[in-house]
Amino acid sequence: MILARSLCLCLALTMLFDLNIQSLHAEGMAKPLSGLSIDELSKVQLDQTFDVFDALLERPRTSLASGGHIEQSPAYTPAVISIVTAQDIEAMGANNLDDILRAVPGLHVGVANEGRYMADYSMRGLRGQTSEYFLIMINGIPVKHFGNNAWSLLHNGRYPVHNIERVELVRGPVSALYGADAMNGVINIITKTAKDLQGTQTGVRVGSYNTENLWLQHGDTYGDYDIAVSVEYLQTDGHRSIIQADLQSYYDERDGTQLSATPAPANTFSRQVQASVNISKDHWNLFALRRENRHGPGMLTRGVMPIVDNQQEIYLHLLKLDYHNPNLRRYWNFRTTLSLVHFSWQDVTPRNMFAPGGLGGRFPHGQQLMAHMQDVSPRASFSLGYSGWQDHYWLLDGGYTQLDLYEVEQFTSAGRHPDGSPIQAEEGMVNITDSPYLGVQEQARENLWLLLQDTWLFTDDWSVTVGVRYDLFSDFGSVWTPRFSLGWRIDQDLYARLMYSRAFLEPNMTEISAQLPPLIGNPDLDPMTHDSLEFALNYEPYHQFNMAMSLFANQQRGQVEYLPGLAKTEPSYHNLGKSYAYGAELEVRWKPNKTNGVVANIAFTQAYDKRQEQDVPHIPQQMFYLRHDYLLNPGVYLNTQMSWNGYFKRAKDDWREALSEQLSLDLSVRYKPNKHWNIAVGGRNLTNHDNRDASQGPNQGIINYPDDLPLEGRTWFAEMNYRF
Amino acid sequence: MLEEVSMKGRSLYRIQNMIKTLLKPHWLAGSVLFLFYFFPLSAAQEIEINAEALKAAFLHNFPSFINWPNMPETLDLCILGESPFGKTLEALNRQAQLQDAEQTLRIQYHNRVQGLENCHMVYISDSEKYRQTAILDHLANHPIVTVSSLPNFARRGGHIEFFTVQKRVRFYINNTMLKQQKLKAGANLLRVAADVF
Repeated sequence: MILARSLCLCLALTMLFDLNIQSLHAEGMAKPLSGLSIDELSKVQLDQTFDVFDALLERPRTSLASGGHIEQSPAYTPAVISIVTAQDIEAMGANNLDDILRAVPGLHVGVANEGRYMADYSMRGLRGQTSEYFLIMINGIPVKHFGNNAWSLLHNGRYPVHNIERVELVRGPVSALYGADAMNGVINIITKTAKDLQGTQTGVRVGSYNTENLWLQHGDTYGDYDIAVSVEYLQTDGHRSIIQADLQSYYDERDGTQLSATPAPANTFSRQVQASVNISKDHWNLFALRRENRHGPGMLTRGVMPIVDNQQEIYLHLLKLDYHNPNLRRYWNFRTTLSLVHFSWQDVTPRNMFAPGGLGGRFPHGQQLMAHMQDVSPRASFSLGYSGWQDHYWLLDGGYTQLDLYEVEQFTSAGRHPDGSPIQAEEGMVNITDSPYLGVQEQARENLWLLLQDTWLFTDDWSVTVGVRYDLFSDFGSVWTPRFSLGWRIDQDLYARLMYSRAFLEPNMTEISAQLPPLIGNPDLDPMTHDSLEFALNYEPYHQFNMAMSLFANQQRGQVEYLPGLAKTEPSYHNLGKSYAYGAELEVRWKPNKTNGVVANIAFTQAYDKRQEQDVPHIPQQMFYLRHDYLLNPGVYLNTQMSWNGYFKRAKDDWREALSEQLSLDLSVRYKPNKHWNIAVGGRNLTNHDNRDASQGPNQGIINYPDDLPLEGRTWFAEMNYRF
Repeated sequence: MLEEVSMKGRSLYRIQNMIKTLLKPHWLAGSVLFLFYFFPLSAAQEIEINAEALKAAFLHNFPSFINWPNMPETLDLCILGESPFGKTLEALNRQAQLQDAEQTLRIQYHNRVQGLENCHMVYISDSEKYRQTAILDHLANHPIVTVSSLPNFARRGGHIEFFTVQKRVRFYINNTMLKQQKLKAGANLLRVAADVF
């Protein structure tokens, strides 16, 4: 059905746009240039296009799909890639990473369905809790923590945008290049360098929900050094949407108590400070980033009562030293990278987990909790490319990384002392650090890898990329991940690719080693695997028009599920899940004339959970996005966006009505009177549509948040940017 | 059978739903707004000159200023890698034919280095950056003019390097390499180049 629909759509669009438009356009372009002498040609001035259109037309090259060596336009890469550039970000008036990713075909931006309001990015029928199926990187360095996700970037007050030069995203599995977790794909955030900044700029943005955003950036060349410095501050109350009922409301109704604080707003407060330095000299690059995010925890993990005043703090430090010499020896391209990612998370104030008497009396004195943990991830890698063998490019890449979870500390007012005796109400907060009663234990995981890949141009129209990666983990063994891509240039303007790739998700540390009944880790767990077959077509009849389509089918095996055993010592995590998905994504970029640009994409997904025998819940089966840029006069442009996600499914035991569609209509006007000033005003979700993301379905007949999780309503912003 | 009916019913229900959704005030407002915005799209198309089109025109012109050891009647211009020109080169060819140009160009598209030996001029696309040394080595002993927009291409042994400055497309010429390969660049070409070395 989906296949038929997308093919019809493609055919219709192809017919519509191929009505000789390409030859007309090429002729039109050639006419004024034909017959000009070489002197005259050298005097022709290119059209002054507003730089918002650059991204639309230029489609920067990326080496993300080839492991950092071969820079290709996304039409030719051996994986389907989307790129969102700084111009796109400016045009869209994006506030944070979520706003940027909404423009990517088929990518759904949701929130963790257990109420934390942590970003959850999903696509192609594979939805987790907190974007764990995406490998998120900053400047090529994976940022992930013990739960396999980029926790430090996804919490309330998502990653700010003003220092982002572009976001590159592989849609589809690429573990054969990037290792574990690259199942839905890879999101690589690339920060601005001295070349991108070229001077000093500062700006301020204010908006709804008491949002204040300030930034100061500088980039220049000092002697042999290119130096870029950026500081950004962002504070917001967040949307504070009202949660009508929670798990405690269920017990209140059952027991006649009044303990739930709902209706109450979710605590979406966030205050972030982010600073980074990027220094380059010849083949060397040093990048350092510090990120601090004090934030509210949304709703409590277990959904018992909103914790309006609680705050948590996250620190992220990232240090990267890179040496890249594309001509180390004749035909040899060499890169080596050393990096360190440090993450620290802690409760600033005690977290009210349960009210006294809460959860049907299970916690007679209630429970308060404070936790702190840190992890550090050193990484060393090398990659070597060889182009000396005619029409082949060999890539050998290897490395070592470690994830060390340490300083796990916990204080609690209920539960057990480290010696096993129960904590009494009058004892207050008790330190249970280094006891078996911690939710997560201190531990480390090591990973060694080696990959080999060959890109072979075996005829003038056909190319093939074959690669395999071997990963060895200290706690759950080894994994082989292959990839294969066949490219065919059907015509000058039509390029087709057929791709197979595999990805895997490493079991997280709790699933392997937890010893807190009923949570018992299973050291025999295998990684979940994801196989994907994809066909992509790129049609570019002329420079101002591009159409990309991809059809995919994938299947997942061995999803880890929680299923407690009969005995308390039996492992409670098992490789049980099985699912598959198929669908299509179509994107059109078109600049019909000097003053207009259009980007539209549409995605269909059908996903089925074989174990539960149901459609995979909480994913939009249809998505649509439309963006229009309109240059009103040389200094003013208007951006309009619309995104629509619909046809969500519930789990079969979930009695609620299907989640209604998510819709956002956004508008922004930007004014650039001269090269110094850049002023914008705009709004998002202008129709104030009641957007909600799905909350978890019933667990033992009870739903934690029966009214789903409300998302942002209508917001406004005003922005002023000054370049010195 | 029952299933088919229910599928049909479901589709109808979906269409009804879609129409209902579209008739909601904010959807209507949105549609009107979009129509209003898209109206300018139907305006007469203005042709925009971009850097690639201009480079194509230069490429088309270069052969008139270069002498090959055995001047052929038809010159083969080969594009290696991802062509940035769309079909502009073919269009320029057609225009030239209309204007009864003396020499015609044959445009070929290549992925592989093998087979480039028969070309007279090769444009090395940006996508070939990772193997430009291997390409130049392969072509070194043939009288083939190499052109590219890759930075430092001329300094690395290429012949003509395009670059964009102040909204104009200019080029450098490595005349030493041209001479080494028994190719002769005309005085006018050398004069227009931003730099010759």
